[in-house]
Amino acid sequence: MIGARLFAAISLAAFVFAAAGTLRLAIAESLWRTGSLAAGGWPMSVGNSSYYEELAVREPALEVSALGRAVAANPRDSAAWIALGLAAERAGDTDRARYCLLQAEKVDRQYLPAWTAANFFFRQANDTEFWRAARQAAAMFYDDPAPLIDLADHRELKAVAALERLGDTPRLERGYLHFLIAEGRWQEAQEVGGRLALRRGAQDRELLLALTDRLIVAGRAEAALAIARARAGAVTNGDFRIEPSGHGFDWRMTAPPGGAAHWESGRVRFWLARSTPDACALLDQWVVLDPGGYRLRFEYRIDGLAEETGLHWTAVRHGIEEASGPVLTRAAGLAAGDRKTDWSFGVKKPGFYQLRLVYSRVPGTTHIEGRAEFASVELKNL
Amino acid sequence: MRLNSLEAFLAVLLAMQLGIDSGFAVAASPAIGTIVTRGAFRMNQATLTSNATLFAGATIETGAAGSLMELASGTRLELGPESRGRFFGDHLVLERGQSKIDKSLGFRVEARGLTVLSDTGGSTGRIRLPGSARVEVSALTGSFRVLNSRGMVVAKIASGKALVLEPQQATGPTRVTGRLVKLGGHYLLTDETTNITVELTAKKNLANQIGQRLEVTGSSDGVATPVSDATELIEVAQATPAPPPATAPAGAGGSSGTGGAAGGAGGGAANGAAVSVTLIAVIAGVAAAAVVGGLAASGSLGGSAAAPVSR
Repeated sequence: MIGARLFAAISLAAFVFAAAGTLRLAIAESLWRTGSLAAGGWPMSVGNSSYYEELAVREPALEVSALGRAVAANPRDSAAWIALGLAAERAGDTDRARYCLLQAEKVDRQYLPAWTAANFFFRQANDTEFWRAARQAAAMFYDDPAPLIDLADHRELKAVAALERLGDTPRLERGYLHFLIAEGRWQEAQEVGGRLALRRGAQDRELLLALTDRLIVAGRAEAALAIARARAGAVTNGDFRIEPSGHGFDWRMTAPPGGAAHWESGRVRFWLARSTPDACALLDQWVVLDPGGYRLRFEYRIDGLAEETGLHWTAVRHGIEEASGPVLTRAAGLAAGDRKTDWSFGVKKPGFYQLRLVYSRVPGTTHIEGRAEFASVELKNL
Repeated sequence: MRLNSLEAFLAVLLAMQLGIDSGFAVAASPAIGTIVTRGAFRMNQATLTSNATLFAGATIETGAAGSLMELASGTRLELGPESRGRFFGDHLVLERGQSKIDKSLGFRVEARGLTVLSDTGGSTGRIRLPGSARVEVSALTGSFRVLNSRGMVVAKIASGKALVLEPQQATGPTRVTGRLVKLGGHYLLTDETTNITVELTAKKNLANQIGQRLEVTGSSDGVATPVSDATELIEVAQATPAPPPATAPAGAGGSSGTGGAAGGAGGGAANGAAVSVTLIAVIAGVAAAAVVGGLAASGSLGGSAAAPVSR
């Protein structure tokens, strides 16, 4: 009997407490919806940690004491611990700052407390605590990791070492690679890119291609070849088995103005129109060549163009044409049964070359609409 | 044996030295301070919330909330809402919006070709970038100096005063207004707007205008060195009695100024601040006009300025 009455009393008390809480929230929401929260909602929360946090903002002179009350009112309020920690750091009380920021990490295992602690320990030059907090933050960053990576990079100058201390993950590697590309640190970008390439993640293809592009522009042939897993003195995707990506060492296809370009497995086609300019590039690929002789072998078919098609291959270095092949003729094409054609050329300087298929109207020939098709391109060192 | 001991001792010393150096290299990071904000902000184009360590050269962009920067040098800066600036240990390049600077001795703010410096350690000032070419400088406490792109002082702003300045596209005539005095055989005039003293030379005798309040236009003699109190030597083209001091709200029209900030009398309304329509000075290629009502009219960083609380 007494037990039943006690249970009823406790239930009633719980009900009243819950009802009061609900009513309070309803009033607060009503004030918020009517736009009078600032005037009416704030004082309602007197005694809550958020009240003291707001007080700290409104009265900078009371900042530390108000935040102290905030964490006393709600020791699980990580935002208040962080604010108090940063305020203590500003006031030069690093012991208190350290305590508060560690408390914030203790009560809230999300990103912000770990990030804040990492920054604090960075500024305090406390390596052990910095890497602990940074690793914690790295395990759960939800947006751009660049600031965390920047922080780690200031502490550990070797990217791979920093990555390992942060807890190497593909996500972090991607972030670090973006960071290194932006910084133009090609040697380290190659190292991190190499690690990412080993994982063979499909989602990393674009990033690795972008890295290859940047390495090519930076003139770093070996690094670019390593990342792209390409070979010097050879063409990539010469059989056109996959669609040219337009990046790295893959083909770049350009539709001639007024015409079109099309890939299908095993070949590429170009349509030249009457409105196509007298000269334009159609197909292009970066290759790395050592001094010496080379033979470019390829198949082609021509429909509709003049006898002297104006199509020919060139090797371009630093924007200057170093070697130029003969103009392709209709007769030598696939339609004539001779499926393979060679162009032999030589280069004197090592480095990047652009192997380029260009259209350049031969003087005296008529500009006629037509189609050109290419397949099985091979480059061999003689 | 003794030699070996000495070598060992030196080796240990060297190793210790290297250890200390390496530790110091880690400790001597290029961090210049902290940034704290209530909301999100962008640092070097990455979005962040709450706080971060500020490195030299970092570009900070605020959103709806401002940010507070505490530099290791002791300087404290607020970057207002919707503002952008690049931070260094000893200066800020303000690119957009506004900034408030506190304990600013030795720290400078660069904006639109002008440099703002405090004269004393306790100075607090506000720099705002209204419109597309102007810089508004308010001295809340202490005084500030403004330098043009050639490092020449073009304005001295006393505590409680505010000026709108605008570098001119082409070097036009200098224009100053103030009372003419003669000291040690030199004619001097302190401009009422910029508080800059210039030395005047003229083909006609200025002696009969001593003590008068004049409006002077002329050209700067960039070669001759002015007397020590003056920053520039002006060859007078015209010196007429100045009209009595009067101010009017921006947009009231009637400006007879020489473009730039002077033109701001007409265009200033769009920028919020009311500027003087009569006291317009042009010194060393920079036009300057006083803000009517001083600090009261110069606006503030608003209620959303940085607050040391993270959410």
